[in-house]
Amino acid sequence: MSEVHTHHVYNLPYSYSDNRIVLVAKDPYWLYAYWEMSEERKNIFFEEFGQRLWEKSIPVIKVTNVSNNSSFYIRINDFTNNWYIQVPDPESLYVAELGRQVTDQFFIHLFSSNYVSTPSSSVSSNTGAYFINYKDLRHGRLDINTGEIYESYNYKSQSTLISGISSPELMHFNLQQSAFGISSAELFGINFAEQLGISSLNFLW
Amino acid sequence: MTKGYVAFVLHAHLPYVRHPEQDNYLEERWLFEAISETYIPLIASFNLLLKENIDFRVTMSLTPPLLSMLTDPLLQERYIRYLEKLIELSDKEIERTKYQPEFHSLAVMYRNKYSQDLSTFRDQYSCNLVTAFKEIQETGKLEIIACAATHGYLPLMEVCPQSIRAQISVGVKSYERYLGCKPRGIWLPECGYIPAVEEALKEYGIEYIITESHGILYANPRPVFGTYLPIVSPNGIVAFGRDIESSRQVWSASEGYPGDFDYREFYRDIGFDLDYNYMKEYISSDGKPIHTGIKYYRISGKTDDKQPYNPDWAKSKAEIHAGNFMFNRENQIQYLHDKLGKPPIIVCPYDAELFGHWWYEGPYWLYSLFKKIHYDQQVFKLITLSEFIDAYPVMQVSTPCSSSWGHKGYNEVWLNPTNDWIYKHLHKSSERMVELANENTEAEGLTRDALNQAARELLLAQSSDWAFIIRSGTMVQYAEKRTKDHIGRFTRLYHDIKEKSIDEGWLRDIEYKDNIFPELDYKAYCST
Repeated sequence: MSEVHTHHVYNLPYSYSDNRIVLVAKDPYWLYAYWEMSEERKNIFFEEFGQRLWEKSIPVIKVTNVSNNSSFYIRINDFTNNWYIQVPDPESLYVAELGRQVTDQFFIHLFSSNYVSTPSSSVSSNTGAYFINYKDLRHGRLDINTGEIYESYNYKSQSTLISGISSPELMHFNLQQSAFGISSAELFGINFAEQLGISSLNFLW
Repeated sequence: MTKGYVAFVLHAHLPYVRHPEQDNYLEERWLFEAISETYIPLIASFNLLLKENIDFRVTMSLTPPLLSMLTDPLLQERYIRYLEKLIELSDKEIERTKYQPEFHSLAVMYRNKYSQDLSTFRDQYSCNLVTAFKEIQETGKLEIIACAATHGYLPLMEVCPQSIRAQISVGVKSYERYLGCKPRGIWLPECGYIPAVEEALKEYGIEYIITESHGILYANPRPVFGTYLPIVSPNGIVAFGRDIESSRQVWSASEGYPGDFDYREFYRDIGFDLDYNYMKEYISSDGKPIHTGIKYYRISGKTDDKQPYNPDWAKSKAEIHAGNFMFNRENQIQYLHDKLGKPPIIVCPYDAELFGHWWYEGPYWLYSLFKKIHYDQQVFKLITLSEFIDAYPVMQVSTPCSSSWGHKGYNEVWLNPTNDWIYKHLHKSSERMVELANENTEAEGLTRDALNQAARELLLAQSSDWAFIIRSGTMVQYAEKRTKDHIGRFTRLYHDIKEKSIDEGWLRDIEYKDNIFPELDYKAYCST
């Protein structure tokens, strides 16, 4: 379909005639992929493998965790162009490939996505504490990779520190159970945007 | 002896809404309501504190769309008309309520308030409130920080790093233009952080960011002091984490202050309560009721039987709540100081518009809190984030965790089945903008204007506000229209520039409509 525009009402292009799959991370356990494939690319497949193989094969996304070199396949269908993908590993680098699965052993690759990292979902196991003086860094007197270690730290006390809640109302507050990522208004559970439309503010629960 | 610090960070932002093509555009009221209910009351609170020689500190972001709207002559003129209508309405209300003393005094209060707003806005600041914030910044009590150009949600732009870079560079330049100095910190829209933003931050001289709590708690390596001291990334970007405890104390639905029964009830407004014939000149032109800003009730309780608002009760409750907040911070800081063996910083970021707009008494609460902190305790001091960095420069090296302050803490608010369809277009348009910039490094005249407008349209399409509103399920049509208009205009410009057939008449029309960033240079998108 061509990219149509008029002067007053804009319709978004249905397709950009691309052959691509794009991957983004939604959270530590979910990715989102969208893709496009042109008729030309499909015809190339027909020429290489025959139309029959296209019809007999199943469209799939091959998802690879590059960090630990493990993959899995998701069956999709020919009528969609996007998918939410549940993944097992936070803090890992993923890539997705769009392709056709002919048998369990036989996957025909069409094209690959960008690489994307899932965020972390927990406290880091890396406890190598290392301190620098920001002023030295700022004024170019320090290379952060070779900087002087100001303090080393014993992590044993850390768990008590992070949950160091002292206000009486919140004494029983458990950090692990708290929902992170609630912007101020979301805590109200109110639909604020309705009347005021101050939309950037996450006014919704 | 000072045992620690509290840093208030108020994030002031509204999406760029300006429709010269039509009068009484409902969405333009977002700005007018925020000026009267939040920005003018905050400026008044800060000025009063200055006058009373109270030593306070606050950090605030003023986003480029907000700075642009606050300095736009058309919107300034429309705000004056908005105030004049409200003054007229409150005069009518004074007459209507003359035998209802509990409402009459409130009608007088609103008439006085809106008249005062008019005088502050027009006479004191010559319609330009940016001057007011700038003057307060010059006293050293307020630190204003930058924001991305159009509040674009950066974590979902990772596939096109040039778009992240352009959001940062245009945001920083816009700050310099309006505030006349360089920003040290930046508010990442929605606290949306991914490590890939750091390169651009560094390039444009940004020293610090603020992240959601787990942006710090889940940082790598593990931060020894949690959110109570900033960390510095290997790129040299300092990150402050939001304090969980103080956010909850202010905003929690159960234990938060703004739900107190003495405070003004947001949802009861004469725009909905009074007769259509009486109100028709003050509501939407299609007859739909709207919030006028004149509200006569207090929250009263979990009941529909609302009681009249009593400003004196509300004020004294705000003072009690300010005292409670201070007491809790004293305890928290005393405890943390002993535990850490050094002074902690408690970072309290909030949406500025919640103070006043939602929580009517919020600006007075802040005033009252800052005054109490100054006079009534010695455990902690208020501080700006830059001052803290300068005073305590020794920091742990660690990279924050990708995060946001939206529901669930990552990208879901801006990426879910209601709004995911926008990203294909945003990503493609970003790539096309880079392509255009790289192909036209020395454009002049009409082509240059078209390239600059293409960059403007892309930036406007990227506002996180649209994805947010679409997800919210209200005002969806407007947000979808904005997304489609900006992507549509961008796409047409892209083809016109590629085909060297720019329609000058049409270009001038969209330049007139989408006039943000007059000094924008499309070369911000060059990748070579």
